[in-house]
Amino acid sequence: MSENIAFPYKPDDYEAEKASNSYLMSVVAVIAGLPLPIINLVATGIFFLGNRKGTYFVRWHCTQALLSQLTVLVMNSAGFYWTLSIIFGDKSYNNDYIAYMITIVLFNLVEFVATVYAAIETRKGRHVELWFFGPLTETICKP
Amino acid sequence: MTNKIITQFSWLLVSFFAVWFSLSQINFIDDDDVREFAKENERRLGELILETITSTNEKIKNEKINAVIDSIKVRICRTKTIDCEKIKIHIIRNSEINAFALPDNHMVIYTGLIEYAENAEEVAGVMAHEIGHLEKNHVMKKLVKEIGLEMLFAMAGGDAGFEIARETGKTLSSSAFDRKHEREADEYAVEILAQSKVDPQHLSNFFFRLSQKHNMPEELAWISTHPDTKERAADIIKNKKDYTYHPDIIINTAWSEVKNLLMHQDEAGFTVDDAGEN
Repeated sequence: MSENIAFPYKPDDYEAEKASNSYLMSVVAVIAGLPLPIINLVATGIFFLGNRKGTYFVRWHCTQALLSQLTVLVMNSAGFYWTLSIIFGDKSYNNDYIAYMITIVLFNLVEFVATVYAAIETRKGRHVELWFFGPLTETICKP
Repeated sequence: MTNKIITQFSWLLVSFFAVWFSLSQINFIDDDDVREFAKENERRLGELILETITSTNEKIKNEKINAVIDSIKVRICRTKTIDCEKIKIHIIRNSEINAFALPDNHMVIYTGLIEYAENAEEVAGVMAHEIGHLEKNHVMKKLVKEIGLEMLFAMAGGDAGFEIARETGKTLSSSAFDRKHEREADEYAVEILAQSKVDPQHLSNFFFRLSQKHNMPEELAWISTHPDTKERAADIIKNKKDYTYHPDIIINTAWSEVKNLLMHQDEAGFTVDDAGEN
């Protein structure tokens, strides 16, 4: 799910706090973000924009937090609109729908745990790469 | 690095769909039970709403009038293998020009509509349209949307009062289905009318004649529940071109005679049972 990898330099305490906050932003937004998944992304996106000129360590972790939110947004939005079409449209409540909702709850839970873990580790100044999002961020974010 | 990203993304995607697929194999809802439960509730709901209508309006039990309407129904139903028996038609004495579908395949036709129609084909058109709403389950969809599932269950279980059932009946008789459902019912009506050798032009004429009435008295209920009438009358003419048919006479009785029966039942010696007897 995640691995601790050595970073090119040792971030100072201020950088570690900022980087850690980028994950906390998406975690805190979960409270307001349910059931509107877009709020998580907006909160993380604003934090990302505010720090796009920050140090490499801060930018790197803001990007990773943003990318992980994007994936969750796609999954949650599909679930959200499926629910709306059942309530207001012609779609019927069936096994596939229930299975999908349980699946996204599980994936959200995994993402939540990974985000909290990443927030804790980065606060300690340790570099954490999440599964898939780490290598992707590595390609996008350059020193 | 790119390979690592693609591999990890593929794993993510595969695990997502694997979890979803595995979970969907679990029978969270037994479809048969749900269908049976829904059917039984719909039956009770239909009876309850019908009772609220027949308690305040006289139900026509004149055999000859019922036979005429029934023969129109049979003519429409037999073409699309619709189970004729399941559609229960109730003719209600009311001056409103209105007909509407209720849960559990009940259809109410007001005498005002029969008197306003110029021929049996127009009534057949309206009936085909309402059968479209029934066959496509628009009635229950509308009720779930407007009344709410919880209230419907309470009504079917006898926990909601008579007044709520009456209001639900009013919703069905005096408010429109959404535009998409109205169009679906129109298309369905054109199809079964053409197959029954009834010219859909008559339904279009009926729509058009009603829309020509500039003042909208209360009696014009069917038109107020069926918006965009002129546009839809034109669509019916357009849709009917997709079908080849040779119109055939629908009933042997002159329509004026049927109207006459309604207006002068007592004089003609036909009996009308007391309201709500059935």
